[in-house]
Amino acid sequence: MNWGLLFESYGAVFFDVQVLLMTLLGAAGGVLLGAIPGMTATMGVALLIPFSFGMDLIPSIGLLLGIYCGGMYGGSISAILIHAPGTPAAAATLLDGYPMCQKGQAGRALSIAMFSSFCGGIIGALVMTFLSPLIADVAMEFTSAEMLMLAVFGLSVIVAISGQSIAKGLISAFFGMLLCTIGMDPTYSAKRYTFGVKPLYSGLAFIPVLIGLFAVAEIIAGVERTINGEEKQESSNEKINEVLPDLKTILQIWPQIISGGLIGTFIGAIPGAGGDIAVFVSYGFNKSFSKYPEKWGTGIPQGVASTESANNGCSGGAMIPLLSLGVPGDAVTAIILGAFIMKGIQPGPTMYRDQLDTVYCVFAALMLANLAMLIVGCAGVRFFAKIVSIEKKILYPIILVISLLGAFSINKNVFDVGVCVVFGIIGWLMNKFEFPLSPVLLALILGPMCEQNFVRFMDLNGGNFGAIVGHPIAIGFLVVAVGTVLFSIYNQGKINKREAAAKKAAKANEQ
Amino acid sequence: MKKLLALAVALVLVMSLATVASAAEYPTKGISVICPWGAGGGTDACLRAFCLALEKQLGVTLTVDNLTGAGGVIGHEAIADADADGYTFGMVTFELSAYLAQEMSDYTYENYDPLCRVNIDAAAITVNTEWANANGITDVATFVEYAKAHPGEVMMGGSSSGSVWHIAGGYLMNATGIDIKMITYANGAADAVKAAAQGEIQGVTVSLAEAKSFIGNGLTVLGVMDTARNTAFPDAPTCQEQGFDIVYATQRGLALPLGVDEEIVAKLEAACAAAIEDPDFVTFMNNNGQTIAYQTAEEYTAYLAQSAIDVPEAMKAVDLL
Amino acid sequence: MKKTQTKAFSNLVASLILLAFEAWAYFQTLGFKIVKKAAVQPATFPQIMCIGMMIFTVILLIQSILKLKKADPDDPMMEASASINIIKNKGVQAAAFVIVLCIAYAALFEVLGYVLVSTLIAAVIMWLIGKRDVKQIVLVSILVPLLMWFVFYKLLTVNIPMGVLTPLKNLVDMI
Repeated sequence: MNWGLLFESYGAVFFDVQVLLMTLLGAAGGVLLGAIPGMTATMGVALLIPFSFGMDLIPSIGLLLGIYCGGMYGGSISAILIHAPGTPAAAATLLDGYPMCQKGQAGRALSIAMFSSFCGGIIGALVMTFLSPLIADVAMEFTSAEMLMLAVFGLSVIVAISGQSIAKGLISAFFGMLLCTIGMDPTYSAKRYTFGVKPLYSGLAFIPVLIGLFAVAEIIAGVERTINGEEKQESSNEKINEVLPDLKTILQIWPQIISGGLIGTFIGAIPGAGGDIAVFVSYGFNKSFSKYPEKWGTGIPQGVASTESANNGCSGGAMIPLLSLGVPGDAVTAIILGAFIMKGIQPGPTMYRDQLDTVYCVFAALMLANLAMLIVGCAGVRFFAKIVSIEKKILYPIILVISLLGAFSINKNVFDVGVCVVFGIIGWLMNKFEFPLSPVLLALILGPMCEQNFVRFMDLNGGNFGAIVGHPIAIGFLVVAVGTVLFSIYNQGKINKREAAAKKAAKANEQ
Repeated sequence: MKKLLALAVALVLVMSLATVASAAEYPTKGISVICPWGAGGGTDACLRAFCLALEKQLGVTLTVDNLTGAGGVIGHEAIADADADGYTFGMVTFELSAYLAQEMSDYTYENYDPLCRVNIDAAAITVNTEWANANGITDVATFVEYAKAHPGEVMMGGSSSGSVWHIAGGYLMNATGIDIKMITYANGAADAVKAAAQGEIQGVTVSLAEAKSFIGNGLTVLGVMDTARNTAFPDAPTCQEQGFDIVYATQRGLALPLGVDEEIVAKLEAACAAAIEDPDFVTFMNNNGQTIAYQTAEEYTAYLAQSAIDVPEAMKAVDLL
Repeated sequence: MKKTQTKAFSNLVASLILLAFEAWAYFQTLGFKIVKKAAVQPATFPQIMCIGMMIFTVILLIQSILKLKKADPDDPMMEASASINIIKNKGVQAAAFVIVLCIAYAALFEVLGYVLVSTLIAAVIMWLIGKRDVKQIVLVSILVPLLMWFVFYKLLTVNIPMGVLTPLKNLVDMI
């Protein structure tokens, strides 16, 4: 580690007006884009690439990283306020964020999400600064076998987020995995469940399904509640004195922030695994080791902290293989790789040798991007929190037309609007009959990763699954996955017992 | 109220008049350009850069519209189905030659009026350096020899199923008579390249630009399937100079729907011919590792006709048909 | 409470419906392309998923039958199930109406254009759930879609179908 150069680079980035301006601009744009369902950081980065042609490398990287970090936080805003994750990586945030909002703590949830995002991002940036080559080496150990077992490990979290009935959770999960197989199969391009419908050839688009299951379903249910007179307007009189969480809250959530940030960084560093997986792993992990797992999902700060720190930790993690190997960690970093190449710089081991100053400048830019996100977030919390005080009768139709537009714009395909509506109906019915939705989502995220790596692994080894023995990391993941399942089943039993006892006590009190 | 109505009618009339302009004045309004692939990908980058150059020639705004889905079929069909007024055209890519054979679409190059070819990127035989050294493989000849001695054992990666690099493997097999196993990486070429560097597979049949980060750093180029060496990789030999006549590349070009006014087509062709030499575009393509390979409308049509025959042949070799 | 109104009973019905769906999904896989030499057939993975789903559906079925037999009043599964009675429940009627609206929305999206269909659906839903301030309804339902379209079209360069309102787009283009 060349400390002198590191400080010099930080100085060059933090005291350059153009870089500061671009990063702030990127963060503001990213937060807004992330908050609109259907608009993702990936799209924002892709849209802005042509504008960055004319700029120097560091300002343009600052701009792109600003969008990236801002978008990661922005997704949580709509997840918390309107039950529609703005980005896939915010999908787990609504598990506790939305209940918090319903309890009238929208502002608190937003500030916790922002603070955790910031801390997670900083953890990611620190790990990236000091451990990049080491983690990149580990990431290079990940072949198809390891990726398969990583997916299996991710799926094991399903039991922890299944809720009361594990059988129903697993039915949901398998349903989600089955949905992933729609379209042309990844190995031989065989058409599966397409029924001659062309837009289905490439499978169901993820974002319309996500928006349908959560946002549209919630609106249908909201209309039902309103008509039956069960709807209550969220109190708008929550006082937001401080835009950052108070010390007491921070003391409550710091273990989740640290573990979430580290989990996010590590999963982000593995090419092909990103924020959407990390948030669920972090949520499941933190829930399992919590002293009161029964409170998770009812709107507790720890839930929001564990997911938001994980998805922003990912941004640091995903930059690790990009810089040290030239392999992008996710879709956004793939585009950022393009920006580097455009400037005539090839990230990879040679970059560390020949252009260490550039590498350090990128570290500094990521740090700055997280700071910019915090500033933008602070400025926005009060404004965003006001959204819930809009009258529900006006808010529902607005959310509906925005959500459906989001579903359309991801592929600019009207078919996706239909997909979104269909999954709105499915989501509404599943909610009614207490089939949990999050397992479907997690299965949709991990299903393709699971199938592709499974088929490839079998292909590589001539159909002999036993060859997995030669992959100790993969075996490790499998063991952890089995452990997670067993522990979660035990935990769920405990939760159900406690809830039954609490109900009995409440009944006894009534009488 | 009546006044308002009259105003509205007048407005609509004016606007409809504005849209009906003769071919001589073309273009009078913004042009929409369809990209069948997602924002941020190679085709998108190439098209956006070319549109910037075209804007300078045509003097109007060109908006790139990413109509994605169904492995590019949606966007390709949208180009052919667009209004033939010259205000919508799009970029067609290699995959167009494979749709009919895969029963994904009934559209072929004959449903389009090709404007020009913009770029081609040649595939290359790139292998894991360690594996090559261990087995005495130094060039295409020794590679073919080894593959013939070990049929079905050499595993090569080529991006996602049915993609241009996957089919490149089939083309290689047909051209040399060897039997290699193509492994698919659904997330794209980057994954396949990484797997080759890791040693999970022995090599890749992707373009040099895709393999760039590991060339000389875990991967060795045996032969490029092109007629001349790539200027960005002067050390990488072609297959032809080693005595193997293997030429295979992905291609991207612009195409109009059928039936556009001839005067407009001529204007667009002239604009394309000038835009291809735009210095900003040339710099962009060089930095991006993409090769500019201009062909006129006529040459491009002939090229598309040939690949409509070649591509299905190669697909049979990789079990896609 | 009647047994047919409990959660356990609704689970029973749900698992029977699911079993039918799974059988259909499995049956479909038999028609998928078969590749010679393939280590894993394209149909294999979906088949595993169908079977997995079936196993847990059967477990749910058995669980609900046992619970219905036992009929323990303290069991949360013996509480009243959510209603989808479209004849009696006004809320369900409204929800069903919104679903029909959404389907119509998707069907008319391209023909009428985003702004127009959105205005219509927003206004109808606002009226449906009891908003009676006509001025607000008109204002919100017109301005929100218009603003969204403008932001997406002009700032994010996303081309959104305008259908019958295409002249409006041409007007914006001219400015």
